[in-house]
Amino acid sequence: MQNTVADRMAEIRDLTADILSAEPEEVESAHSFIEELDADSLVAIELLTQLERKYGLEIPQESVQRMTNLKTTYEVVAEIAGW
Amino acid sequence: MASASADGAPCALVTGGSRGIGRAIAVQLARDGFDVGFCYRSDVGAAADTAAEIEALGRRVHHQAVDVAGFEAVQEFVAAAEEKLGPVTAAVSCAGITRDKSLALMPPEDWSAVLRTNLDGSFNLARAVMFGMIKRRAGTLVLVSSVSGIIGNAGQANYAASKAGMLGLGASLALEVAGRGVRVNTVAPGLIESDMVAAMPAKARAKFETDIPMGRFGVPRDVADAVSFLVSDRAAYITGTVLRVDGGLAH
Repeated sequence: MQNTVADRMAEIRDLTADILSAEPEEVESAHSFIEELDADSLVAIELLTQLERKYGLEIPQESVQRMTNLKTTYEVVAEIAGW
Repeated sequence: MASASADGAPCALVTGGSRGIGRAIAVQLARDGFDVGFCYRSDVGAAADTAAEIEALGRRVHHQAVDVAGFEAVQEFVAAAEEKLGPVTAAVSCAGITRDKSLALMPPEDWSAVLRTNLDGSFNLARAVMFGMIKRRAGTLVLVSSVSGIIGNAGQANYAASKAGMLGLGASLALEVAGRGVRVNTVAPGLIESDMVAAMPAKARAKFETDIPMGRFGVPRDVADAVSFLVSDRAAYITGTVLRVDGGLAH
């Protein structure tokens, strides 16, 4: 089970790195995508869209506000996916 | 068109679509092959006529009474229209009111009512459709402003301010979403034959006719044709622009 969490976290990390044009390590260590990795709300919408596609979910708009770093982004996805 | 409803037709939304310029736009977009969702403030009879015209063109229609000044009300309208017609491809903010008066005598209620319907209403529509358009990387928004917003008009400080605000809204939003496959443009009609202009005293009307380089008022169809172009793929490289439809008035 622990493995699954780590694997999914890594998947989301890599996807986020792609969208933010950042290194996976930077995504992992960032407390704030916006402050540290130059993300903006439009990039966040892109991230949301890609996560929806990858996991077959529908993530509500308001969740964008919470997706500020890898941990919170994972939490949003996990809550909706019921992981 | 990127997004389509079950029968393959894309969906267009028009606020203020029951009468005047908004009706002409709604009907033209139906002619262009869109299923059309429109809202209106209160004229149920006019809305039914517009809906019948759209259906006669073989297109599907959704319409409901909405005060566009209400954020939630517009969200609900867009959700209901999309539920029925599919994801919105084109949105047109046309709902507008006037409360003309010299500013020196203008009650604050007349100022805020006009700003809330015309400018807040445009924000509310843009806000309700933009997230989805960005996600789908497809869509276009047209704001129906006015030459009053460009050159001003005595007795219309509230209206002109709201319409100038729409120019700034459109220009800024166009920049925000240009990289996301979404286009935003504004049309600025001049004097167009509609209920709004019909209320004008004959003397004022005659004066305006001499001011208009083309020597006549426009008709709603003139504006609808401009909107039809801007939402189409023929305007695929056009965003952030203001298209004047005014017979040369705001030269």
